[in-house]
Amino acid sequence: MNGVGSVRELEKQTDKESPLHSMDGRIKLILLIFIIVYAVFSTQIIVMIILEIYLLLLIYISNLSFKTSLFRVLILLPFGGFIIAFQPFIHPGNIIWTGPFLGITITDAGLMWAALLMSRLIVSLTSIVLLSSISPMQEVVESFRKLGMPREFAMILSLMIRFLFMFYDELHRISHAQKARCFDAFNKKLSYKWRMKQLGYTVAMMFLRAYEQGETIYMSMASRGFSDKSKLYHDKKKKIGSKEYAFIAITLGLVACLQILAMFLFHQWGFVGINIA
Amino acid sequence: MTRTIIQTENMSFTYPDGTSALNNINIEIKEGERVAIVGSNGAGKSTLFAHFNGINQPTSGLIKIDGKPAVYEKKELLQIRQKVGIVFQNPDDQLFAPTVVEDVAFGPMNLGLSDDEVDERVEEALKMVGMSGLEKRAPHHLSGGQKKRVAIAGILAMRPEIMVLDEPTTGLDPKGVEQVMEILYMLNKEDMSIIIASHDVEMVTKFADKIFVLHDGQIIGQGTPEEIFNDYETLKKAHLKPPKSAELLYMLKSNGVPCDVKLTVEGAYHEIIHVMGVKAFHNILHLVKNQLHHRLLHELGAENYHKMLHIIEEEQTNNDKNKNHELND
Repeated sequence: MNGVGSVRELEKQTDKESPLHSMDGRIKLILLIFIIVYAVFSTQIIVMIILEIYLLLLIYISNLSFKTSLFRVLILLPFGGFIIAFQPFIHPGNIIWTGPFLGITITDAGLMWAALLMSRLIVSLTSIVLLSSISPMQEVVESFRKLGMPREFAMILSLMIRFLFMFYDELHRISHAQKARCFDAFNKKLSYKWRMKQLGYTVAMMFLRAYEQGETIYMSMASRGFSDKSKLYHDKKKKIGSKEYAFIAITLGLVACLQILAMFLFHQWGFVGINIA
Repeated sequence: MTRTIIQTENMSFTYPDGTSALNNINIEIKEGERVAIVGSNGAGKSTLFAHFNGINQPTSGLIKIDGKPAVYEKKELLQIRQKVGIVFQNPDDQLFAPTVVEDVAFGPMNLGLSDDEVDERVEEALKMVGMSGLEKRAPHHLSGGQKKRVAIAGILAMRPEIMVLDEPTTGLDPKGVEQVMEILYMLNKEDMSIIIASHDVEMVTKFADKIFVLHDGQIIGQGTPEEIFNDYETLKKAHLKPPKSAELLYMLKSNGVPCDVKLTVEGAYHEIIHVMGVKAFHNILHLVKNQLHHRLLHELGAENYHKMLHIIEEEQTNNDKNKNHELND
């Protein structure tokens, strides 16, 4: 899946219809960030497992494909996974394995810590994947704006979303023009230096076009009366209804139950209930 | 008497790098007029347009909007920009918000209107361009014609008195052109002055009451479409081509056939009958495969067909006269 394809694919997911898709963006944003924060502060793997099950249930309710969603989590996993991979070797604790070279050891506490970090990472990434699949990017920015994000920052994000797609199209056009003249960046018959030079030109051209586009956009904004005092429009017709209240109640209820069980019950459940902190 | 809404007096503009873009521009545009600025690429059309709502400031000379010289202060500029709306050539230069509704609301928000007023104007503007129901759509999901219509709605929502459109039909398919032109005719009917820049001479001939020919930053000709497209030398100098019907008559004229240049197909047919006779005209109809006129010629007979062309021409002249009277009253 290339860059253009994945962005378009993500857009298709957000166009689907489901109770979660039609919900107010602010509620989705707050609750999914709340789940991430709660996961980060929780220290029992069982809490992560239950949160992950809840998120998978939400994915199911949202008519999203499990395969695509988990694939996207898997793609993002290496970014944090790299740090987690070191944990069993560097964390102090009881040594459970000693390597043949350089005195490498794995400790039980390190292993547990890595498992906890990994489960937190999976829950956080699933939340992000779910949020991005049920809310179009513009809705996420609008929600941030309604929640008080500074005007300048919100405008930059709005512009970014609009032009992300436009520049993807632009890149696509440049790539087509190159392909039409038989250019293939992976063609080993061509010199590596020459191929790199062409890719460099492409990037330079993109920067140049972005700069020019920025100039014309500013002119068009100024011609519609834009100034440093200009406000941004957001739809005030959308009200929080029963669907949103139900989602808030279920999510907060689940987290409250988990917290109570974490304090009084989970520690009896062996490995998954151990308080790793 | 119709008031003058845009007037320039010896207006010139030079870019900071020293490139002279406009030179001694003197134009006058009246309320409710449909004006076209024609000229080849790089003639200065877009630069001239940027002066109409204060994006560019003349380096010398004067521009008057609604009788008052333009003042380049924040408050006055906002008033000018509310009065004169510009639709850019490429709608992607104009549509910068992530959704249609946010983009159309951008102008009214800048005018400091209440939220209810903004909603009302957005709804009204989208309805006028036939884009209601697509409020939540992202601009990159729209076709070229739809983007153009949303760009027009973004300006309409500011309720301008003058609408300036840079190449409004470029890149559109015939249906898209028709839709955009319908919107422009409708707006003009409601007394909005329309100024367009275009290379599309066929469209300009039908649409404009007045044409300015811009070449190398200078106005080298102005007048009605008939006056402009009869002035072959000016068109040649500005690297412009006349409409097809006029071009055909030019060719006949330059080969010694004594004829006048006409801008419509019917006008050209009439002229050909006069100068070459019915038989030659009949052969031409066969050559150009114009079945409608061929059938009319056979069904009505040469004499009646000729009378019909006279009636069409008279009606056209009367319409033009009425239009000019309305503008001058």
